[in-house]
Amino acid sequence: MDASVTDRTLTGEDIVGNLDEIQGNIIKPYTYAQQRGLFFRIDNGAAGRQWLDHVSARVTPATPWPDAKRPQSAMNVGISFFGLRALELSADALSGFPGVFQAGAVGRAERNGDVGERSPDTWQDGFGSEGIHVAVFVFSDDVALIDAESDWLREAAERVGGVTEMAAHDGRGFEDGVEHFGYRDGLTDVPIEGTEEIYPQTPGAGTRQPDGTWAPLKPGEFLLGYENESGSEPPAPEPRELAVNGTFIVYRKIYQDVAAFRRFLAQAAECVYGSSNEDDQERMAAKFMGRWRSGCPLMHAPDEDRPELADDPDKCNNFGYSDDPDGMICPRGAHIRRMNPRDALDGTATVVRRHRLIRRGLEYGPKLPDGVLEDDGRDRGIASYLVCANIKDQFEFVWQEWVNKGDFAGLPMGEQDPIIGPASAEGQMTLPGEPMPFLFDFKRFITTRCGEYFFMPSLTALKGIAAQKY
Amino acid sequence: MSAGKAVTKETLEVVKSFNLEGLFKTRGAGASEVTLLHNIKEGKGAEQREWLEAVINTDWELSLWGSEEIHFLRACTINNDTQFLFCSNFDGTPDTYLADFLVHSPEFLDQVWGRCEGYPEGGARDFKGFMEFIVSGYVPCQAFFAAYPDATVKQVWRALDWEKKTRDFQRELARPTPSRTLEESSKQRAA
Repeated sequence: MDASVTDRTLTGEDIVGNLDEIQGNIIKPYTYAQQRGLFFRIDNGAAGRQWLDHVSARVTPATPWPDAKRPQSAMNVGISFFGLRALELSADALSGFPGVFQAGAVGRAERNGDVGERSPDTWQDGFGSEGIHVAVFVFSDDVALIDAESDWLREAAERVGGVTEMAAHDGRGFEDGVEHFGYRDGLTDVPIEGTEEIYPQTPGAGTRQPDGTWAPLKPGEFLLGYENESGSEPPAPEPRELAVNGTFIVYRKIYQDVAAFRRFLAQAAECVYGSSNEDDQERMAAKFMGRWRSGCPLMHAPDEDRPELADDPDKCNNFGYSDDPDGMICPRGAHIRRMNPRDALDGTATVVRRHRLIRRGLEYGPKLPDGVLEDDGRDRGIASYLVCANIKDQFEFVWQEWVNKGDFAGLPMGEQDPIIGPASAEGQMTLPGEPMPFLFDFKRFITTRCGEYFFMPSLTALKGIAAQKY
Repeated sequence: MSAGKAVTKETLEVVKSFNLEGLFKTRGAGASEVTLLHNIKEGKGAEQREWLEAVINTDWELSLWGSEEIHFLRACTINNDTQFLFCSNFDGTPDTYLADFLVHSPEFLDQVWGRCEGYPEGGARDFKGFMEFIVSGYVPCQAFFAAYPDATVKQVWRALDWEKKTRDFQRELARPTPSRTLEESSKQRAA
């Protein structure tokens, strides 16, 4: 790393020069078909650092691949606060990490709605304690290569001792790009200023400008040491070398109850449209998501699905909600309008561009065959990580205010995200303009299987942590 | 105050003679303010703070809840427990607000301000002395904002009650009728 760039706040102009420092899969998704998250506990600091030093040599940076030729596999690393402590980072360095990260996913569970059936007591594989220290994500199109990389990691751990594998979570993308609930996924990403050339994105993915165009997000929303949307830097630990070009990820493995979702969809269509025929179920599904299940946005196709629009780069993401303030076309509580309200909150105190998330993840478990309405007892869902420079203002804010409440959009306080909300007793959905404009008795369709907050350091910082430099 | 003794003409006249309405701000039927700052008697600061801390959820709140006129009230010791800051937002005018309190809860007022310098020896039953004390702590309020200036506490409660009733009604309406089970519906489609 050029030492001079670490002394000042970096901007979009600095990103291209720092790609060899930033871990891959943050700025631009890999699009490998298979992934595995391997989670380790460090019982001996010196051994752990030795192992991390081996691993750091294999970590994939964000550097564009020569001739756009993707390597056969990629590897990335995150370290939890408890992992940094186990690796014997200095007390000064540890204390500089944001409090929310220090508390970890368990410490923040109650605020994030991980209570009851979703509480850390129920989490798998040693999550739900302070025992998940290092996450290594391995990506490839070929499971055999993922197995080989996993074996290499395990053998290296065995050689040094004091490093224990706690869990391995596999994920893979379905060929049709459709996730378990039947929606086409992976249609939207977040563009970052300064990366337009290496990762051109479709209009509508960033922030709407007064002239109607879309601007990318400032890098400091997703990278430490860079200017963010409020003109400052995200909170970060010292020394600067430890933080800059790093970020935070929120790992969550989430079970999806597909049978319950399908049954509710039929019931909801019956309540709202008086019929549960296929067309009405599809219409209901579109109102829940804000997109038809084909991916076509409701804002461009209010009355019937136009699947071709999901593949039209000028339409797929290019829309706002200012022409639909009451949610007659896209309900104000629809999932995508919650996760990114775009221009819907303009004129309010909420600055949407300070609360964006990059999602990187794949499905796990087999698909429930079409038409099946009873659960088959198989585990299925999504294993993903959300990238954000500020866990509190981004992940936690979105979860606490936009997913779990309705007040931000002028809806009843108890109105929650219809798909990923907690479905509490007050849960409801307001559907203006529909034959029955309100819907109640939502069921819980997702359950947190486990989760943790990880720091995803730059390549230099990763080697520095392994060398006990900080 | 909702019940009990009526505010006498005499009390109201004593209060009115202090021209409170010329001092405190009013933005509408549901938005008046009183801001007061008094010095706490030497050695009484910690006691005042501890009394405020202990009074939460007890008689204080019950008394205020029963008033049905107060939207928000803040009471705090400040400047290292040497001063007592009292800010209240309520319905109606400052005259009726204080006259109500004077008639219905003089003991309560004695507890709130009894540890402050200049509090009358006769306590809140000495209407004139109490009003002189209140005015001595007057803090001019330059800016006072109310998001719903004409909504009184009772109106807000009624609106919330209506919201709940409306939602219960909506829930009943939105419930699928027993005759429209999924099976029935598919039979209808087939027909």
